[in-house]
Amino acid sequence: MKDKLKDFVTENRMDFDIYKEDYGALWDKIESGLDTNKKRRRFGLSTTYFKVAASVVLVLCIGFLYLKLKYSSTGFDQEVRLEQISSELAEADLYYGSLINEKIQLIQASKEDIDPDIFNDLNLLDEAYNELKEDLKDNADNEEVVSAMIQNYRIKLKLLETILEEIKENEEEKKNEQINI
Amino acid sequence: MQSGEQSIHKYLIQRSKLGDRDAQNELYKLYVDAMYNICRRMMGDAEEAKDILQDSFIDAFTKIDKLKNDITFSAWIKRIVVNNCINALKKKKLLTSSIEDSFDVPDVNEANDHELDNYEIKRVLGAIDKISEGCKVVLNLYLFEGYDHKEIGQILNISESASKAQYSKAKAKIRKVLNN
Repeated sequence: MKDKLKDFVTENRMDFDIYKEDYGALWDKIESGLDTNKKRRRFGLSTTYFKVAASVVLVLCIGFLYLKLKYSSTGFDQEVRLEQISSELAEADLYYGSLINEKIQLIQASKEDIDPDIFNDLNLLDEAYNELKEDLKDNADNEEVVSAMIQNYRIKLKLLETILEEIKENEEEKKNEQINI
Repeated sequence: MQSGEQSIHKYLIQRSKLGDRDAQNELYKLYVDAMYNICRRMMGDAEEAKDILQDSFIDAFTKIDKLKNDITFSAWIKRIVVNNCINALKKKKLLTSSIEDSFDVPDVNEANDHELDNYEIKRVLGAIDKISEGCKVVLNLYLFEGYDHKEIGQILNISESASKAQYSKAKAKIRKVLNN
């Protein structure tokens, strides 16, 4: 079957390369790209690789601290071990603690300006939580104390979630502004 | 002359493998125009074409020690450029959907081609910019880059007949754009 378009292109192939660019400027970029590639290989670490490694180290540290907290307890230890009092409470502590850490990390990662008052509030909540923990020493089976501790966690979580939502909204707004421009 | 050119070429590649920036620049100057035009036709956009061109040459010179003697640099760089274009289009999610398009190939009646006896280069390129990504890729590879349908099938991971069908479809679209 005859293909006139193909024949036409084949006959005039070179004339189809009509597009031009500033190839000198492009070479400069390629050259600097090649230089960074070289450096990267020399150090053997890309930034993403480094980030992954850093998160692994972080997770290991948290795990280690948790295990240390869990097993270092002796009968004479002054500090309260939650799981000695109530395994349920220990579980809740771990659960909320990790949720809160995760959210704090998210907030710190977004480079938004956060009202310092919010961090003060968080610190106050931390202090209240530690006081409750002390109370537990004396009132091991005090349900009120336990529910107050959990309530404390919930408030903290709620606060962090609100902050995250605000950050998200801010980001969306920024994006929309860019589109409008 | 031919062999002289070839040995200069060989020399440039050897130097480039050793990381000689000047030799790499010479190779770049030899091929950049042809490679940019591939990117530009495939992407339909100058900025995207420049980005892909840049990445492709960086890829090529970073991996040049893997270039075997039985493959020419021109075929090799072309394949890198084509692959990078296809990957970029896939990332934009334009390619898969349009290649999976139903194969309702319009009946290509070559007899109607008489209206197009006088193809004009700029008009044809303008029309290529206007057709959908899926068939544009096949059309570009077949018309300009010298791949046959079997090779295009391998590059795009589609069947040979699907490539043929996409090409016919693309040609019909080009014809339609040119007639308007």
